[in-house]
Amino acid sequence: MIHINQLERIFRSRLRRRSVTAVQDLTLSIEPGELFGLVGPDGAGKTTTLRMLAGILKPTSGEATVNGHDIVKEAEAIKQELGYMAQQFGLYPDLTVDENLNFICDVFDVVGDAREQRIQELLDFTNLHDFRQRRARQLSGGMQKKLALTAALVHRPKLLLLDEPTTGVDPVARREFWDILTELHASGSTVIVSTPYMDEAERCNRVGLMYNGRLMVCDTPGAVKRMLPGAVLALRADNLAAAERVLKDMQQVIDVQPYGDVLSVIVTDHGDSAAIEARLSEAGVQVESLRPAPPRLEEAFIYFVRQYAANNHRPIEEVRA
Amino acid sequence: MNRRHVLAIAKKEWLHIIRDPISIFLLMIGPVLMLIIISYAMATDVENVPVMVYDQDGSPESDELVKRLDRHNVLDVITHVDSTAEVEDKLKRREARVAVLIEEGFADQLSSIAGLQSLYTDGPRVSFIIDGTDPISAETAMETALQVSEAYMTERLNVMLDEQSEAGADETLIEVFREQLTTPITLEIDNRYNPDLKAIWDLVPAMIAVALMLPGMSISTTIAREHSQGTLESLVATPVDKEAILLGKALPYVLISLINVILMYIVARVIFGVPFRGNLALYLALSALYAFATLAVGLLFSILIRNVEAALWASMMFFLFPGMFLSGMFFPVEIFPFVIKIETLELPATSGVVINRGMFLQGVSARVLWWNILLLLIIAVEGFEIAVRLFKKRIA
Amino acid sequence: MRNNNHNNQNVIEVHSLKKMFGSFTAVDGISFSVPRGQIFGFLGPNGSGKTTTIRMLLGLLPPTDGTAIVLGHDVRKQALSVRARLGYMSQKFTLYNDLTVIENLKFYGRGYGLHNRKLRERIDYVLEMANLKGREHQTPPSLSGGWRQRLALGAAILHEPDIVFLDEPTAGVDPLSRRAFWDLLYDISAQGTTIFVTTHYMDEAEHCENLGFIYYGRLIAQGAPGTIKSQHLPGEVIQLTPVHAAGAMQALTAAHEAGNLGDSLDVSLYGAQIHIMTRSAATTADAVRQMLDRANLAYNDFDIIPPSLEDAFIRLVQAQNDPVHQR
Repeated sequence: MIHINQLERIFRSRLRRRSVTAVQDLTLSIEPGELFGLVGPDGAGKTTTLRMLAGILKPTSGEATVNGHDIVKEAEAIKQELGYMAQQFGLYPDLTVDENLNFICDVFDVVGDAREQRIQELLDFTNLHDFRQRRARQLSGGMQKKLALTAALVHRPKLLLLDEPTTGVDPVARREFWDILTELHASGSTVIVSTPYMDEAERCNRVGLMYNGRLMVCDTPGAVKRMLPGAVLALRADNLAAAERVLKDMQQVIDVQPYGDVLSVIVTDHGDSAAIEARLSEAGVQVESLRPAPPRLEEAFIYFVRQYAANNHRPIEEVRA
Repeated sequence: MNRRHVLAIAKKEWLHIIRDPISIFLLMIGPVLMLIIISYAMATDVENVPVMVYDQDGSPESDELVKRLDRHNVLDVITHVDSTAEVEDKLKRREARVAVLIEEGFADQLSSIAGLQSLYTDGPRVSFIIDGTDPISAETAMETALQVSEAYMTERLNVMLDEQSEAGADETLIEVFREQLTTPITLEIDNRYNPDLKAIWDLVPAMIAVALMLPGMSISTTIAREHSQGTLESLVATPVDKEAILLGKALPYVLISLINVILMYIVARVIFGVPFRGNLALYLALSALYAFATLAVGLLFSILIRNVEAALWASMMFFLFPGMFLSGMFFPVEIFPFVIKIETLELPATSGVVINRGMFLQGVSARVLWWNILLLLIIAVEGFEIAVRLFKKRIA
Repeated sequence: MRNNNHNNQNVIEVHSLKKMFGSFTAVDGISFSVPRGQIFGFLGPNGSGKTTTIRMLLGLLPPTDGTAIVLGHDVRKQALSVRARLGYMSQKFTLYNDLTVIENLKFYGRGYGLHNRKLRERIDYVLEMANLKGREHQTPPSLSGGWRQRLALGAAILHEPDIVFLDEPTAGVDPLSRRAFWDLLYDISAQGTTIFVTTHYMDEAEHCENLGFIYYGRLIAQGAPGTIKSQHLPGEVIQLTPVHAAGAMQALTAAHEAGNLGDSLDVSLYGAQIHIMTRSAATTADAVRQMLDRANLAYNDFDIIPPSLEDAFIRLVQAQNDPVHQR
């Protein structure tokens, strides 16, 4: 469906003679029907990647095809078959929901009876029925995102590129949004979602972790997490600050991370928990519970970033596409 | 290019325009307001134009003439001079803008039949020099001076004829002269510095062409506005092609321009009393062409400049102002140096001014205007083509 | 519990605080208190009134009703002296892009009344803490997001404030930098500074000692993260990735509705993952595994995880029967 080969995009600022490499060495393939998560913080290159795939930004080098169309030479053909949702709200704030949707229907040649039916469907799907005559600028952030998604779905594209669709949105709307994405995925659409949220990444078929313009790792969430060496233990104790200090020094402990009332401890082996409990009671810390916990994707991400930095910015072996 | 796409973009642009108060002002009210205000500002307040008098006759009649001129509120006699050198000097320094030159024998011409005869054979013994650099006030001052002088002289001559008649002069001769006096006496005006005095009738039609540049300025922000709003990204990700986007954006502005033309036509005819001697249908067609030409230029600005304020500023500096001052509205194109004259040809405004003046005042046909029509056609088509080529459906 | 030497004195006390803009109610009568030295998180979606509340506590915006006492002083009559004991790091951190790191710090330091030796000492401290030594003469645009944040935080604590207000401090930043940032916050808190942070990242809220859930102007829950979760969400979540989502969902939902899935409370599909909420994971996990194996439905990654704060939040919001979100 999508084949990317050594894609690169450099932004040069003529005035300041500085250049930013937003994406480099990107090689990746995405299968039809996949729910793919492009994960990483701001500046990782997610938006640039999506824009290139949507045909609205030219790469500096490398190539890619979307649905068989080259992103540079056949950009307009791609746009016919694609539903794109930009990171910033891309609909017209001074137009009503209805006017915006009618405009999009015109743009995608959805006419006649089919139009009204489609609009009804989409408004039901996204629960925006009561807001049809509202000006887009008067919608809440979550509703605006839903409206933008609706607009991307008008022509029933088989491929969706969604750039941070849930950023800044309240949890209820986020949940609703993911319900919509789940249904789309279940009906066979290919969905590429970029997100800075690790928990959203967990729900995808595959995730690609991006950092500093590079794809560090690409596999199913489970596989990525299993790449983390060692095991994770969750510690509840009476004095977590002290516990943290003590544990950081232990050679079996790879990393310690507080989460409010729980301390997440990454150890070289499950079996280390005995040693840890001993060391803690030695230090006078009363352990309430020390249980194995599944690793979080966030921890995997941090591990990979550290690796990448340690390897002098060279891509890591585990990067698969 | 898909017609539905073009209309969709046009409808959307129309909604943007009418929902934005600034647009509404600039487009709907602006042109008409501009027309009325500037025209009035230039046309009224002609009062107390400074006048100097070089009176070589020194007669009661010449005194009376001067008094009458002074009494009129348009003119203000500020000084008497004693030599032509002084006249020239004061004109150059703009201490006075009108000079009344009364030659010796002025009174004699008005006091006898022989004098009257010499008035017609040798010409009147009073003439005027007008400083034409400020055309509106010059024109009014000139009209006034002529009118007052001419009225005075005719009055005196009629009195003289009455006296002669009573004294027993030849009645038929007197009748002939009375007859002749019913046509105004032609007085000489030496019009300095501005050979082509512009009257308000000249100004208003030209002003229409300039006021119609406001929609051109307004469209110069359309792409920049979508860019700053963040909607441009989504628009270029759709399959709507470049031509449809640009043409669709231009259409509402064309409509608005035509509405403005009609409004300004009404203002010109009703408020300023400017005659319209051309073909109204042709005028509307040419106005539409003119609108396309100015909008094509506006679109170019819009594509090249992605920042709203910068686009407005640039279109004002490089489009509106040159249009106003170089189009021939205030200053005749002939006075510009050759290089600038060539430049002005490119401006749609120049052709717009010519067309408007032609249609209002001269009632010319399309054939006479062929050169300007061709220019506008080229600007519209080429401008649009270049805009399409420059506009990329891409971010950055 | 984290041991941070709190005394019981509250540095912030808010009673029925209300703010209206015209007819729009931004903050609808909220009450909470924050003891000295605590890390208090204000959690809620954008537009819920978090920034408005901070502005009222800083004395920048007068409340429409209710009271707010910061460091013993009513915010309405807040003396400038109290302002000098507060630090603020805003959402779009106000660093001057054409000034260097050190120039920015000097500017803010002087703004807070620090001079000469004291200023130099504090700047030194901040540079050390933020790991910016060696980058003093760089300008913000050349620093990555994480460093800029730490610099902005540093600028907010130059004058050793009693309370630091952080408005969405880690938006958009990578997890590594976010982690380093929170390490800093823990250090500062350990020294007795109270930290009031707002965020819409549910997982970040887990770092706080005490939380207030704010939803469109109203405080819908308060307490430690664990307490909130246990109060409003029973049990745990079973997370599994089925090979064929549709089939698995069908089977599991049927079993759940028939009551044959241990003591399952809810079965939902999120993207490619199924979440089963249950009171006791042990019995349910077995039931689920048996069911799927019997039906020959394969799966990867079977995990038992604690419910997230987001789950709690959503549960609370839905319980409110908010007319904005009716599904």
